[in-house]
Amino acid sequence: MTPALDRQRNILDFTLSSLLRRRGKLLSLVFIYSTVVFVLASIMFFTHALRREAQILLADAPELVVQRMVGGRHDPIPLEYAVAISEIRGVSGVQPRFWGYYYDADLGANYTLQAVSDNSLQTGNIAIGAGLAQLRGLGNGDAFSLWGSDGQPRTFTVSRVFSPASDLLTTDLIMTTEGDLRELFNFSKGTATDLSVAVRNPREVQTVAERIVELFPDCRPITREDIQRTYTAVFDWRSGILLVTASMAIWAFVIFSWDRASGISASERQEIGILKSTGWATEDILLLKLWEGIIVSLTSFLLGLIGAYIHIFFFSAPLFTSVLKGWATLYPSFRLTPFIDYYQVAILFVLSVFPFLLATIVPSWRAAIIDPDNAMRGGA
Amino acid sequence: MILQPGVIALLLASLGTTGLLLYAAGIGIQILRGWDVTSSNEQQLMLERKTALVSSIIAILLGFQIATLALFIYTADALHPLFTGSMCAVGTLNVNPFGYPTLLAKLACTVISGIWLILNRADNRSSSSPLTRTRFLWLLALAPLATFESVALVTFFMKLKPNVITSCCGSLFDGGQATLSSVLAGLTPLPTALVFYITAIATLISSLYTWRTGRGSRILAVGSVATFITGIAALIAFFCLYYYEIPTHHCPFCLLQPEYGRIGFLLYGLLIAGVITGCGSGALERHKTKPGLTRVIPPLQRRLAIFAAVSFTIYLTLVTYQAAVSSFKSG
Amino acid sequence: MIELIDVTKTFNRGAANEYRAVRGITLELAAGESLIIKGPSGSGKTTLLSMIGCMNRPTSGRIRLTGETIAGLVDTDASGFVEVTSLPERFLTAIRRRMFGFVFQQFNLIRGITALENVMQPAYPVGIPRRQIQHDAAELLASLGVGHRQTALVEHLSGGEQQRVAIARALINKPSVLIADEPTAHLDTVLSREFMEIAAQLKKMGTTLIIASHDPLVYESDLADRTIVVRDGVLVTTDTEL
Repeated sequence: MTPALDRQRNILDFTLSSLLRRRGKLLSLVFIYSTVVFVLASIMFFTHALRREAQILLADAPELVVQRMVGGRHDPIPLEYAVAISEIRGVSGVQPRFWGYYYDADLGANYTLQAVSDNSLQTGNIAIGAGLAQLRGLGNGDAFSLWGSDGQPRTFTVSRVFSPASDLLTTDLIMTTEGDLRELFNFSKGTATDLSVAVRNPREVQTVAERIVELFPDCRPITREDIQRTYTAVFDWRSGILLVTASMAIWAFVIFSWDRASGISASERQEIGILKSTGWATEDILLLKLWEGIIVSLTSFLLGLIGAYIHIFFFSAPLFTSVLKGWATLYPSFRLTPFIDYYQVAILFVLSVFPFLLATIVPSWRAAIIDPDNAMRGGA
Repeated sequence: MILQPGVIALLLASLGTTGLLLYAAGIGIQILRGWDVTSSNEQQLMLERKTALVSSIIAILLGFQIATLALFIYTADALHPLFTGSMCAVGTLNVNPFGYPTLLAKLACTVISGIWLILNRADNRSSSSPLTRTRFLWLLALAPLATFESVALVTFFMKLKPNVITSCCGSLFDGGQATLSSVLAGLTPLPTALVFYITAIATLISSLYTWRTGRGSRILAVGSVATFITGIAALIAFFCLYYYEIPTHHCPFCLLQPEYGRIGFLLYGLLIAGVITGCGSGALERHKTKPGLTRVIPPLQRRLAIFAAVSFTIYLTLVTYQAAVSSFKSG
Repeated sequence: MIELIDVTKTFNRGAANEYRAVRGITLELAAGESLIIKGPSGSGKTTLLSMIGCMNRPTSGRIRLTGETIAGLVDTDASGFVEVTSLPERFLTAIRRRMFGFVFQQFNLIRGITALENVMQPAYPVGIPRRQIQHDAAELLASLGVGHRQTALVEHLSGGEQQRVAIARALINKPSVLIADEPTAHLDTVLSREFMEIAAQLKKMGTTLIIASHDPLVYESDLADRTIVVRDGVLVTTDTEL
């Protein structure tokens, strides 16, 4: 090894031993540091995982959904539109969809009601999401009543409960037949909630959408790409807001680490004085401090990261499910698919390690310039 | 404004480093004003100690710049679905006129901090610190550049409005816009590669000459800048085709993606290392006759020259190997 | 090998509490010579030692050094001397750790680490392989008769043992000059005599000794080639013994 490498190794060795000598200080610093990383990492892992789930689900969503707008509001769409749209070049199929929301006053929860497009259900039967089934204590064959828009209750039989794997979108879902849904919501004949349009060539989606608007100026086509973009923006925005809130924690942490690094104890001060008097240069002490910062940072970073990983993917984020998913009483209790995204890790690294190193640089230098003859004059 | 975690990290890092650099520049002014190497008083001692602080700041800054350079490109890539027509980082950077200037400013900061550390190293080896003025003047040049980088970065993200229609690497040919990367991608592949080979080999010879004799560092500096530029141009116009194996794909950033083994990190890293060491050697040239440096600079220059030579050689070997073994054949 | 020419050191220059610790001392010391600096506390002995030992720089005057241990570190003048007066701190440090070993009044050992590690510590930044340092340190401790205490924490050592560890630490980088500031101030007579014996052995091996002390046991010993008296920062007498 070259002298330069030996110097690095020797100083690193010494840093480790002096960190271990000050275990108490080290532990409290690592604890706070890794908590900050843990919070940041949990937020990022969680929102990122949600976004991935949403994107996986959206992959099965129709390429194009056409809604009719009346007075700027979503209105039922006449079925004749479907015929005209199916004749546009490039359209391979048009499927009317029927859905709506149902407010359950007992639970204060909103359900999504949707009609099946095939014959998988019989009249009077419903399929429900696992969250709803659990909340209401329902199983196959049980009866469940919903209030119609005429004020009369209707009783349905549960014929299926969706498996927990498809939780994110189905937890509050009730599937019925088209006829039952029309009857319950009193939908007028000849209209659908919206139309799902299949396009043969994905590159033509935009052209088809433009053609639809030409034919029916009162319609709003929504492409899957639009939805994806909105989702991405919404999730980024949510995690962004949380991170901004969390950056207050970062700032508090920066001030804390500044304080920690600058308020070196009398014994540490004396020790640096001894090192300098026996032949350590300012640069050597700076190196010692740099190693110290790197060791503390990396340890805390890894601890926080591993903690967050376990929190999100093994325990499904118990600490802030309600904050993040927040919009529904019935939130999914699903397991997120574990993943490691290097980009997310890199962001976390920049968010947590950079501020620490920046905050400790000036205090480290202050410690490094202690006069070497301090030791001769009986310590600090 | 898009509140994406990567954006927040970049803004935080950029503002933090620029703030610290401005602080360092403030110290630089104190040093330029009060520096008196013949004095042994406490004021001079304090200034000497402050140069150690500034060195640490720049060293950390260089590390941060390299890390955020990569993060910036990855963030641009992660944001691309928000912009119609964008398929990767190129599209995002094209959304508004601040994308590429930010990237270039980051690159320039990286190279200049590298050169600064080389000057610093030479100066620290000499007991009379004859380069102190020079390197603190360089520092005063670096501070506005870093400030520009921060401002451009903030403006870029502030003006990033989702849904803007942009042009990306796939459409650079048909789009009539003359953006930096479209010009690079539009270069005729074979001549560009040829120019690169000539430049790189000339630079290699020059660096070996400097290594053997300790002379010719200025030529080496010019050569390494030329190799850096033609190396990137040839990578985009020619060599990347052999990595992507798609005849029209000329993206400078997709090489950083895992699909291609993140080979871009190595390739760009080698070019940056080469240009820093080559330029560093050249920047030392005019100081090599200063008293106190005559025995310090030549060995340092020779080490830098051989480092530049090794970096460029590895780069040259890697891209040539890829072009030779790739199943893709350009017409 | 050491030359001081009209050296002064003023603290807090220009301020109300300005204090001139050393006022115009001129001194020359040859290699292998041993010098004892006498004087009451506060006379400027420590300041003088710290300037000779390159711990800080004089306010005015010149300090010149020469010797094999520092050859090649800094440019020398025609006579082979290094002018350290206004050298940057990093060079002072480099010279200090090659040329000088220090024994302090309070032993200044680092608590919480072993005797061996305390001895090794000054060699770390020099860039010697750790194994080598460890070997040298163990040898030094053994030669000073405390080899069996290597792995003990310094706070568990007796005063005499601590003193020896401190001497071993001063010698780890093989200095040509040993500087000791009031080395016997905290020792009883027996231990003080032991110190003087070690010092005599070092002298025999060719080490230059500079010892500041107002302990008669030190300045009346036959160790000193030369004894000087410093009072209020001024060299009062130079009396050569023998």
